[in-house]
Amino acid sequence: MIRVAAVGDVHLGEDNRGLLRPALDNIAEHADVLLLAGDLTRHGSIEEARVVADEFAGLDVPVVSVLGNHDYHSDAAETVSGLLEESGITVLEGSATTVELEGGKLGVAGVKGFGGGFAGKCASRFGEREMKDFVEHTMAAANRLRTALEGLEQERPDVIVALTHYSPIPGTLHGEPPEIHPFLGSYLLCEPIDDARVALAVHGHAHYGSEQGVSPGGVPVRNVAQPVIRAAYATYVLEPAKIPA
Amino acid sequence: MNEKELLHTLTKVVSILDKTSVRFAVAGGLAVYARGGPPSDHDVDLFLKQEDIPEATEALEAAGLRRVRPPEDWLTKVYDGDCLVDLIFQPNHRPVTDEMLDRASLMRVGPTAAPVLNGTDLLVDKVLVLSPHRCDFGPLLRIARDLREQVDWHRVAEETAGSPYAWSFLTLLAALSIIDGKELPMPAEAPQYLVARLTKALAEDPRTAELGVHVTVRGDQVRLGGEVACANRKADIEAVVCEHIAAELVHNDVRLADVREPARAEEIR
Repeated sequence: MIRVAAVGDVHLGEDNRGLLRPALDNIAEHADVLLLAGDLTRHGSIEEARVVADEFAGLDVPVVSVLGNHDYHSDAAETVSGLLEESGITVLEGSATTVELEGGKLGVAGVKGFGGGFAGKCASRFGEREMKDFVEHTMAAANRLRTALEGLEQERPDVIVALTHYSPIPGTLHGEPPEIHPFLGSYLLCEPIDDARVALAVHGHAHYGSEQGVSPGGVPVRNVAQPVIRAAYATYVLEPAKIPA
Repeated sequence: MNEKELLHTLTKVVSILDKTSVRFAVAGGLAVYARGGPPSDHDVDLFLKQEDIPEATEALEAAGLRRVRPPEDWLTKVYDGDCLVDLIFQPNHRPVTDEMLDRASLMRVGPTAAPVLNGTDLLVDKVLVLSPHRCDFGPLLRIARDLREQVDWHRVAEETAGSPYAWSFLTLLAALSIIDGKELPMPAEAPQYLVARLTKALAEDPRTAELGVHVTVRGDQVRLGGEVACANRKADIEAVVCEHIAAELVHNDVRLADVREPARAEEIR
């Protein structure tokens, strides 16, 4: 088995440096890997990125992350990613990584994603340039996730997890006002997840949402935004048998 | 000038104007006095329509009162000896109308009887006098206490809605339970716009950068909900909101993140 710990939306800054560390120091007792579902900072500043890098550095388990919208706020996402990578965190953006664990080989494909809404109630690539840009940004993210997942399957990991900041389904948004669903996720992110027969999809972003949901293709989806899981991280136990040989 | 002299002059003026076709109403301090408020020792104020000013002044001059022509464009003045009579046709930039004079009621004022301005019109006039240089609530507070049951406070609030001094004074009356605050249609922002404004401030202010705080407005109360990482962020949220609305209306129900190790793991099969 593979034990996956995950949390999103920790929004670290100088004022809460060290907040998660007591729980993280002990993480190997609970999990084999830690996934961060974005919104690691409040403003996406270099200073905050340093706090994040320190907070998750030197853990007993590998750390894999995507960035969230807050981490883009200072237009310094690349520098933020660089700082996290320096401290040993793998940052995914339309890319994938594999981790060899005791229970098997885990593959993680990750992308920040974007909004647009869910089937039947979503934005269309039509009209003003701004509207088309909005939808095209989500389409591009979804395509990068598809490419990452396809590349990952060639490495034949025992278990595949998809990691996004925005939600791929509306099911984990229960509790959020339906009016803002188009800003919380997009069904476009779900299509590659269902096509790749992912074992678990993890996302953050929706602080008022609910933890559990299922994709149209039957993939379990978990919203791990910290206000939702009410813990330093949530842990999920996956059986390698999920991926057919 | 004492109360007795003022009433003597009023009696004289009323008997002169009663012989003309001029419609008028006693206003100002004597109207307050007639309606049960404190005695007045300032001057005699009469409200009348601008078109009636020539006839009124002519009759008063003919009876021996002395007319002066003040530079103001909202009143004219006559003197009975040393006693000043203000003939006001545009109090606080609002013309005296037949409707206003219709609302006046015939009342005893000392030795005479005359139409006295309606309690609501009287308070509207008094409250609108408040300005940066005339902002003494003391005398007005006493008048409000004495006349409160003769006043439609809802209409006072509506007719003085443009004045922050009036708003402050009416708020004070409500806080002192002199009037019922529910009667006041305060020029409050629609709740939807208030929610939008606070939500925008919490998202865009660098001190908060919070997209996940729920703002709920019910009546005049604002509740903040959601979760933040630590206590000083909760305090920052409150500080930003309190820059937009009065602190005593804000209820900060934002909770703090639980960052303990998870109690259990979920098996996904």
